[in-house]
Amino acid sequence: MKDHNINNSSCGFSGDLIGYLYDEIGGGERRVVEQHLAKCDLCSTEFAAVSSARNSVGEWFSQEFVGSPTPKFEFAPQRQDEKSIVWSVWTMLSRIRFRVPVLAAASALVIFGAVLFIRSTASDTEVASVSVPAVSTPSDEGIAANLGESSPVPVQTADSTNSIDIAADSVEPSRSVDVNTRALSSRKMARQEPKTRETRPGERNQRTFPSDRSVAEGMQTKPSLNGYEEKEDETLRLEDIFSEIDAS
Amino acid sequence: MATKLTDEQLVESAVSGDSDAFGEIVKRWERKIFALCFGMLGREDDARDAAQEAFIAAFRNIKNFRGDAKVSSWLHRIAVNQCLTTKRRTKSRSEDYLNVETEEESRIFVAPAKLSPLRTTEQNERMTLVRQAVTSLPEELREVVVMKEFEEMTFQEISEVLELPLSTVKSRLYTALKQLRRKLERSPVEIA
Repeated sequence: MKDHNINNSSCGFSGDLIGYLYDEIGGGERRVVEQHLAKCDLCSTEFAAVSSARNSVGEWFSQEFVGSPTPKFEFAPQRQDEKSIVWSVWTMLSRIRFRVPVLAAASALVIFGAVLFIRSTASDTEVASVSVPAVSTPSDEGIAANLGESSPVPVQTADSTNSIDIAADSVEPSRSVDVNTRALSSRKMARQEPKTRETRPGERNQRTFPSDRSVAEGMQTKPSLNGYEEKEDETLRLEDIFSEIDAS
Repeated sequence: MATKLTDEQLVESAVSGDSDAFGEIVKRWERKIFALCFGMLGREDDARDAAQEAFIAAFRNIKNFRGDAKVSSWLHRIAVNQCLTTKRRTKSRSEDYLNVETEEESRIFVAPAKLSPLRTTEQNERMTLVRQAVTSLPEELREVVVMKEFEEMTFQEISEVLELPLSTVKSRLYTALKQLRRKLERSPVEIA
């Protein structure tokens, strides 16, 4: 007859049941457990439950782990010293609860550096954007040409900020009589010249200004905005006509 | 030649500077340590990282090996500690991945070809439930289950590794299996 009223916890067989389940029990104890299981429903039910759980775990293990290959583990003795220095510093910092402040300081440093970089880049861009072509005034050019001297010609450079002042000084609004749109467009093209162009010492700026052409070619000039003497576009057309006549 | 040496002799050689000796120890125990980490963490990639860290930690501290315990016990103790550290480190993440089965987890299980798609799906769900049940066990119960089921260690070996009385190991395993059964019974998928 089975012992229906015996609580499993009071049976004292849990240790033996688990030993019996994993076959780590002596022959005498095995027989005792088997006899008890034969007459104790509660213990036999519990044994079936833990046995089922064990099978489930074993199934999971066999399905998901047995087939997976063993990774190649390395302990890297050569790199041990290199890593240990960094790691020991980091461990020391983290032990004294410096991890968060250190991370915050590092982040702040990175952000500060980024802001400095952006500001410097932005200021360079600003200087470059306000650099207007430094041109000589017609009066200076004319005087220099008449005297046969090489007048210092303002040179547009990428980092030259003096050219702004020179250009500003050379503006004579009162002399702006005629606004030629083509002349304006040619000035725009002059502004779009490479900013990095440099002039060697003693070398005259290669840009041809209206005053130079007017003196050299004797062409008709007329004052325009900012006091520049702009070449008439008819010059080009006359040259084309003459060239066509010569060709014919 | 190194394969004939015992673990303790290999440790002595490693302490004296022979890194190949420690490599032999790694080769001997890597599968079991990997299995232990897999059972403790429930994910192959976490298990791989934890086992790697465990071997590195063992190599660093090999001079502190006292010799009053087995090398295998010492390695298991390091691996268990590493798993607990990894578990704490990735606690929030683990709660997420235990609830949502990722594609990677789906790839781990390769069902036999003769199973129907429905059967395969059921089996996948069952394996997921078992994994969740095992990884949600308390640490002191989970480590016993993993050592017993995954590494097939004896009760005596487990008691040496965990430095626990033999009766405590047995009672913990019994409690763990009963809790597992209860968790699996509550799940909608029938457990075989």
